[in-house]
Amino acid sequence: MTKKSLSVDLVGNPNVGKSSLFNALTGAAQLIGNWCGKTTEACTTKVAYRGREISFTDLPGVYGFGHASRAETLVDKHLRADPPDVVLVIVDALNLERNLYLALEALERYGRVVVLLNKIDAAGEHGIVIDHARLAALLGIPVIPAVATGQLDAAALYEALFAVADREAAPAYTVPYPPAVEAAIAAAAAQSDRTGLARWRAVEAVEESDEELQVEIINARYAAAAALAARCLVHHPTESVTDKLDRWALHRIWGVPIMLVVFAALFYLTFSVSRPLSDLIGALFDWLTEASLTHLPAWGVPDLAVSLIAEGLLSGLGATLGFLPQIAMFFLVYHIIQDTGYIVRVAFLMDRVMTAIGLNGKIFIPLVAGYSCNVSGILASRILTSRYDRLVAVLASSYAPCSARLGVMVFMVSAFFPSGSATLVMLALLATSVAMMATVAFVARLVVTADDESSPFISEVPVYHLPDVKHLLLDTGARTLHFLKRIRNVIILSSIVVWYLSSFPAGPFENTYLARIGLALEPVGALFGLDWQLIVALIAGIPAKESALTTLGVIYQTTGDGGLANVLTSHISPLAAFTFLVVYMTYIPCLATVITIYQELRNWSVAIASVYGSILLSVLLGLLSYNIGKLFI
Amino acid sequence: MSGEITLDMAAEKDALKVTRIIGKGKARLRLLQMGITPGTPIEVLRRAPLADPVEIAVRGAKLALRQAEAKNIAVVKEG
Ligand SMILES: Nc1nc2c(ncn2[C@@H]2O[C@H](COP(=O)(O)OP(=O)(O)OP(=O)(O)O)[C@@H](O)[C@H]2O)c(=O)[nH]1
Ligand SMILES: [Mg+2]
Repeated sequence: MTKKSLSVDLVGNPNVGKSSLFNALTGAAQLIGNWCGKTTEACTTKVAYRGREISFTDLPGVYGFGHASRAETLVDKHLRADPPDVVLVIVDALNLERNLYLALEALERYGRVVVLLNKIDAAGEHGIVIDHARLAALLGIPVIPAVATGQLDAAALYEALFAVADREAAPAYTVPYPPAVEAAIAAAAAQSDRTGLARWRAVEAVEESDEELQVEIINARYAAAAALAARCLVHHPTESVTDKLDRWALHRIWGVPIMLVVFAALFYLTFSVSRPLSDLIGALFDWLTEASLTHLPAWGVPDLAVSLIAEGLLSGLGATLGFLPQIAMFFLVYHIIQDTGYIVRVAFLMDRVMTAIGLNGKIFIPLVAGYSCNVSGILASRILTSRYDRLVAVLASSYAPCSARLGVMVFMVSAFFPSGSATLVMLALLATSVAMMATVAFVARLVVTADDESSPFISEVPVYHLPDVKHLLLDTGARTLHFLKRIRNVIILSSIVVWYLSSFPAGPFENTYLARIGLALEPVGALFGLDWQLIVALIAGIPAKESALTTLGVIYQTTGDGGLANVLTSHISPLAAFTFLVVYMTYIPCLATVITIYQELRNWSVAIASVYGSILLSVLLGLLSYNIGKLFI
Repeated sequence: MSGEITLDMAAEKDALKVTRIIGKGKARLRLLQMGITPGTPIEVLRRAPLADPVEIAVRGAKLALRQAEAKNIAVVKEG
């Protein structure tokens, strides 16, 4: 029987390249990186092949189907609720034995299995050669060697998938269990009133009911995996690059200083490379604004439309696009840190410090992700399995200044401070954000009691992976574009709204709606040394953080001349600017973040409490920063 | 068993063998599924700056785990 359409689930240990394969086959954009636990939900996409259709589902990484983690529960439930036609087990050639364990368990349960032997390129570099034909013969199923991140022979894979789906149930390899286990399996099968309880269900019943036998079963599978690996694998052990690097990266004394230098260097690079590009974009938009102010009226465009285009749209867009280079560079750096596998070393170095303030070392990952986008930070919190750790990660990662905020911060800092001290000011702001996360964790610990089953830390330490330049650039470009798309409408809309509020009613600027709102709040702002323009910018930043800068662009274009950076420095003192940034960094994360907090925790009161909490914190920090700063100036 | 210690006490670079997994439930299953089963050779590669977590080598893979988790792995020195 030939099937017209096939469903195929990608199953494998964490970090073996399931999502890389999925993206390569389907053109999807699942998160890729060199650490365990990136994929947290099932994701399905269809592919057409020779008039037939295959629907692939990418799944989180698992070590078994026994519900030892949230991911395993999810995968097992998914497979039971919607059994696929074929299970595609991705096996990491770098770690054949442990990966085969999962392949054997999948084979025991689902029968129709294809093995994709991934990362054979990296395996080769480590002196590992695997006889895949022999493995296929021993297992009785297709084994396809591949490099998911390189040239991929998709047709060979599709053919194998259809062949396995179409064939009659074929005898495949079965794990030999010791007699005591076999007896228990037979007993479990007999106990069920339905005749012919599938063997794997009986095995599962034994595993769940008897801890002693469970160890025997797992041990037998591992013994089988080890024996298979021994027959198919030739290994010439060499001291790998990873061993050499880790001797320094994880060094007891030098590990942490090296980490700080790495982060400082990467962030410094972001600033120094992106600043000239930002200036260029700024200049381009200034020129466009000027040009439309002079030429459009001559073409008969009404004054109001000229004002909307030049002072609303162009200056708003210019202000936002000006920090696009920073954002692109940030994505680049972020990609490097996570795709090399360095992020795992950071978690290793930081865990003890993190646990001291009630955090799991793995929380570093959502927190770092939060610096790119709070929404992704919150989503990355799913790698923490305990409810308490997740709550803290979700709340704390929204205090990471995201790339939108960082862009604004970098822009303001470089406008107000000379190059040397700019880096220090930036570091001070980042340190403040870290302190805030610690505070949030501390408060959360007082309010929520940690559940007894705290997240296990145990995870693999992957070999280093040199990011592929093409992939790196494509990914950075895609993320930057995605970011642009995400903010495009908001930016255009907020530019228009702010332009409207700042142009009407016509007359002196102080009469406009925007000025009236700002002026009404000025007494409050005075406590922080913030003038009404800055307050208006904060209000405009609530739906999307980047609008704050857009708004400043629009406000000052209508009252002044020259590039935004120059205008700002002539209106605002460095201390007020710093205070503004402290408040800006802390108050209400963007609307999308607030909504994601709700979606992840399914709890409006926590989401709303986090908004109030952030306002309270920002007011406190603003008061502190301004009043302490005044003492020194 | 004579000479049995838990992995959190083990010295770096010693050749060790797993004797049993202490504890129960998900944490125990996790260790077993990752290949830390009785009889498996295991080695502590290094400890982090504050002596926690530890990096271990087992079945050709490198794993990071906390001292608290290492406490659940009973081992004996080999040879
Ligand atoms: N050298 C090499 N690296 C690969 C290959 N396939 C994937 N990788 C890298 O392996 C890492 C993990 O890839 P992912 O696709 O994110 O792995 P995953 O299995 O989806 O991981 P989780 O979702 O965390 O379970 C990334 O750094 C990839 O670039 C390959 O064939 N060769
Ligand atoms: Mg994945």
